[in-house]
Amino acid sequence: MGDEPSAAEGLDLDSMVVDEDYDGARLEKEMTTEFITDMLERFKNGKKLHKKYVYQIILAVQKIVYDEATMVEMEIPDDAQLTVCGDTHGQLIFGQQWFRSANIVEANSSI
Amino acid sequence: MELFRLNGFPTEKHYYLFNGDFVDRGSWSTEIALLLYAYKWLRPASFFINRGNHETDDMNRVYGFEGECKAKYNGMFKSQVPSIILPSHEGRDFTKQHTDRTFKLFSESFSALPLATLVGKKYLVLHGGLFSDDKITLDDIRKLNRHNQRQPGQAGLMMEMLWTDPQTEPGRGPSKGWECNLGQTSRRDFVRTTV
Repeated sequence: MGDEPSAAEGLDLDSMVVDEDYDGARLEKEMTTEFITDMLERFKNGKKLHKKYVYQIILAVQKIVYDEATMVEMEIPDDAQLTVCGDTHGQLIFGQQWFRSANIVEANSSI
Repeated sequence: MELFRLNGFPTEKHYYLFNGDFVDRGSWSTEIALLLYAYKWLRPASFFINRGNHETDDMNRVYGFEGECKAKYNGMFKSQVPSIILPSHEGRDFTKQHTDRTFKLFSESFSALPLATLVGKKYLVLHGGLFSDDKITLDDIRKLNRHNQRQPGQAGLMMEMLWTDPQTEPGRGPSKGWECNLGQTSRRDFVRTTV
């Protein structure tokens, strides 16, 4: 990394308060499927996440991916499947058209 | 996102690999990025994200993601940004400007993303492509310390992994920018010599 200070410097998540009247699911120290379900619903309705949660999510993921290898080496268990997709480019509604036009490769370890 | 509704939501039995370029161009880049990130946080061992050439500052300034972050999650703060020269903003100086914190955090997280994923020791998945130098092997990718540079720059392994495009003609050809295009024979040679 260069000398440039991180945007996380001076950011005190604990001091950020999510108001009582925030109508979305609450995020604590771990991500949950309930939070994601609520998030999807909010986005469909044109609502935003609380800024605290946005910061929390980005920082948590940065920490996870930073420790991953430059080339991640993964194995897919026999009873699992893998979907590879790319170039979604900020489209919330893909629909069937997207499946036809984009590169979706379904693979599992037996291929 | 329709993708998950139609194709199945990510679980321990349904792995996902997003091969880059999930931001810019569309108007829902922050939503997509946050959703993918939320799944990465929930399922770090079965949900993977490769960096694409649009997970970079230069692209995000021009193609909309930085502006979208500002519009939706505005949190300006004073930051030191190194001077860079963009093709479209030649000579413009970006030092000491007010930056949006959400975008800056995203930008730093993009720099941390892996550049490739090797699936089952057989399938190399990466957003750009292979290399202008035929001698590059998987071990060179393994050894590449991506944390030494936040942005891909205009040459080198990281740039080629994000930018190289396929072409129908065999061999190599010049491309739209500084990267090169690779034809099928070059790709086949890489597979033969490295995997």
